[in-house]
Amino acid sequence: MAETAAERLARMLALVPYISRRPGVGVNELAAEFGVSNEQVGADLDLLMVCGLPGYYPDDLIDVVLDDDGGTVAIAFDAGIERPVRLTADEAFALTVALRALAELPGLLDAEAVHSALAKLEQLAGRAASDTDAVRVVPADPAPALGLVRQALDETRRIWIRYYTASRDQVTERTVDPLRLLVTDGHAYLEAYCHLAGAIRHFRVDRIEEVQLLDEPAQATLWVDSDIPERVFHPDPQIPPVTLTLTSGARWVAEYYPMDEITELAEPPGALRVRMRANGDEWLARLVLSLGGEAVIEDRPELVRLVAERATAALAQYPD
Amino acid sequence: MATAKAERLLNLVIALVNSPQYRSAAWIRDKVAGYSDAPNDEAFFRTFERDKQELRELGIPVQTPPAGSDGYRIPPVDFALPAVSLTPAEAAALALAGRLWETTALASAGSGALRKIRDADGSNKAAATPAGAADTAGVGTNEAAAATLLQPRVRTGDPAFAPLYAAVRARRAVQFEYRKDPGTPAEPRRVQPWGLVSFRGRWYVIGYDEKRAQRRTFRLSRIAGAVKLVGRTGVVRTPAGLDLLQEVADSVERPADRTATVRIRSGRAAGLRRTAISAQSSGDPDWDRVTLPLGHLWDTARRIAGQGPDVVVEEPADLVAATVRLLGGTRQAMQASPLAAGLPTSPGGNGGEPVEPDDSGTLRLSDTA
Repeated sequence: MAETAAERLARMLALVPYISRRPGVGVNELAAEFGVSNEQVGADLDLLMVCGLPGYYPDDLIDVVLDDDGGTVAIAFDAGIERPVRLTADEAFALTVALRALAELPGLLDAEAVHSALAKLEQLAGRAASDTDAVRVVPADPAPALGLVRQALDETRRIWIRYYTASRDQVTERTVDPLRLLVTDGHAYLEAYCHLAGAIRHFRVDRIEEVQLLDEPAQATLWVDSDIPERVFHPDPQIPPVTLTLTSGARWVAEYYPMDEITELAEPPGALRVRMRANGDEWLARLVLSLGGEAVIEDRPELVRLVAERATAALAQYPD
Repeated sequence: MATAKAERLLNLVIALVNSPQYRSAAWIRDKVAGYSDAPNDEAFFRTFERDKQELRELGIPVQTPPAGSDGYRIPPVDFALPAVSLTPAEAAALALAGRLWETTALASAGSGALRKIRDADGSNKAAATPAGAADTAGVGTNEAAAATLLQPRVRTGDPAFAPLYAAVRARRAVQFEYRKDPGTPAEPRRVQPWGLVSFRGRWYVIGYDEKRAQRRTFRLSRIAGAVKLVGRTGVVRTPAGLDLLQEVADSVERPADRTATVRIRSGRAAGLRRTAISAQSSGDPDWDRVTLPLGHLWDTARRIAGQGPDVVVEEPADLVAATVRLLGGTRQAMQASPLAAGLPTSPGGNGGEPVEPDDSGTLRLSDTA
C-alpha cells in the first residue's frame, strides 16, 4: 500500500531531531531505524532540503549535509523543527499499554522503575493518552522463579534449577548458564546453555520449581540470536510425525499444539485430520488417553496398542 | 502528488511553528510554498482545511485566535515534546515497552513513541547513540544490556485484530461471524467492543452482544471471515468499573471450588503432583495418596485419564465416573481402529459409551514446549 503524505511527513519530522542528535549518522542506520529503504531515506532527505522558512532563499531551507563517500548525514540548519513532535494518540496508547503489560509480570523489571516511567509517560502524553484501559495484556503467567532468573542474567551467574519437563512429565535437576529471557505467546522462557543436555534449551520459567544462584560465572556464549524464535518448541527430528483424526470435541488440540498439517474432514462433521510432531510417544499416549476417544491414531499401530493397553489397565482398577 | 503534499505540509508546519504571531489565511496562501497554485479561494480553503486536519491527527495542533478572527499558528510549546529525564532503569523499561508489540497496528506506534521520547531527552547522552548499540556511557549500556537479556514480544496472527483494535479505539460497533464451539457453523454477531485482552498468548474481545443483549467474551481465533466496522464513531460506552482482565479470566478458567483424592503410583505423574494441595502415604509403598484442586470436572478428568493406570481416582464420585468414561471412550476408539488387529476386545462392563462433548476448549494439558 502506498504511503500517505501524512505518514511521510511524520517520518520527516522525526528524521530531523534524530539526525540533529547524531551528526554523522549513517544512511543505513536511518533506514533500519525508520524501517524504510536507503532510497527512501535519500528521497526524504532530498525533500527536506527543499523545505524551509517562507521566502525559501537558500539560507531559509533545511540544510542537510550529506557525505556521499561515507554515506553519513548531518543537519546544519533545521528551520526550527529540531525537536520531536508530541506523541500522537496512537503512540501514547501503544507505549502506555506496553508498559502496563510489563508491569503485570512481577520480577521481570524493577517495579518501581516501571511505575515511575509510566507516571512520566502519562505526563508527557497528556490528553493524547485516553482509554488506555481498553487493551490489557498479560505477557506471561506469573512465575515465582522470575526474579532470581533475572538476577542470574544480570550478574552472569550459573544457576542450578529443578525443572518440570512437560513433554516427559518429569522433574529434573540441571545446571544451566542463562543467556536470555524471552517473553512470548503468554509465557516467559529462559534460554540457557544446559549442561545436562549439552545444548541450548528453552525453559518455561513458571515450570522452574527451584533456583539456586551458583558462585561460578555463566559461560559467555559465542553467539546469541537476536530474534525470538517463531516457536519455542523443537520437535525431535528423529521422532516420526503421527496422524490423528480429531472429532469435533477435540478440535482445540489443533489450535493448541503446533501442527505440520491440518485438513478438514467431511465426515464426521467438524472432524479434522492432523499431522503433528511430539517429543515422544509417551506424550502422545497421554494426549490420546486424555481425549476419551475423540482422537484416533491413523498411522502408528504400536501406539494404538500402547494406548489401548493403558486404557484397559486403568479401567481394571475401578470396580465395575 | 503525495510528494507535493508532504512538501506542502512540512512547509506549513515550519512556517507556523516559526511565526511569532497568528498568520492569516491570505498570508499562508501567498507565502507558504505549495498553496499559491490554488486556482480560487474555495480550492485553497478546501486544501487548507484538510491539511490542518491531517496535522491534528499527527499530534500537531493548529491554533486560531480566541476571538475567532482570521489567523493560524502552531505554538512551539504545543508542537514539541517536552524533555523528560529518565533514570537508567526507567529508560530500560521504556525501551522494552517500545519493542513489545509485534502487531502492525501497534508496533510502529510503539517504536515511534520511544524514538520521540529518546530524542526529546535533553539530559540523556544515551539518546545520541544508535538504538540498541553498546555505549560506554551508563544509560546506553544499561539499555543495550536489557535489550539483549530480555526480549518480550506480544503478537497476534489473528486477522481480526487490526479491525477490532481500530473499532475499540474509535468506539464503533462491529459485525463478524463467530464459531462458538469448534465444529459448529459460524453465526453472525453484532458487538459493541469494550476492549481487547491478551491472556495466555491468546487475544479476546469483550463487549456487548447486541442480539443476545449480554456482555460476552470472544476469542479472536474463532472469528471467521472479516470483521466489519458498523455504526457511528464514538457511540460505544464501556460500563464503569469494568475489569477486562477479570472478564477474560472468568470466561477462560473455572476456579477450583472442590478437591479430589487420587492415588498416584510412586515416581509417576510429576505434572499432576505439581498441582497437588497435599500428599500423604497411602499405606502401600507403591502408591501415594494425593489431594488435588478440582475446578472444571472434565479438565481434571482428562489430566487423570492421560496418566492411564498410574493414577486412580478415589473421590468424588462424579470425577470417578468422568475418568472411567474417558478411559472407556479411548479403549473403544482404539479397538475400533483398523490398526488394532489382534487387540483383545472389550471385556464389557464400565466404559465404552461415547464421551459427551464438553465445552472446555480451554483445557491446558502439559505443553510440548
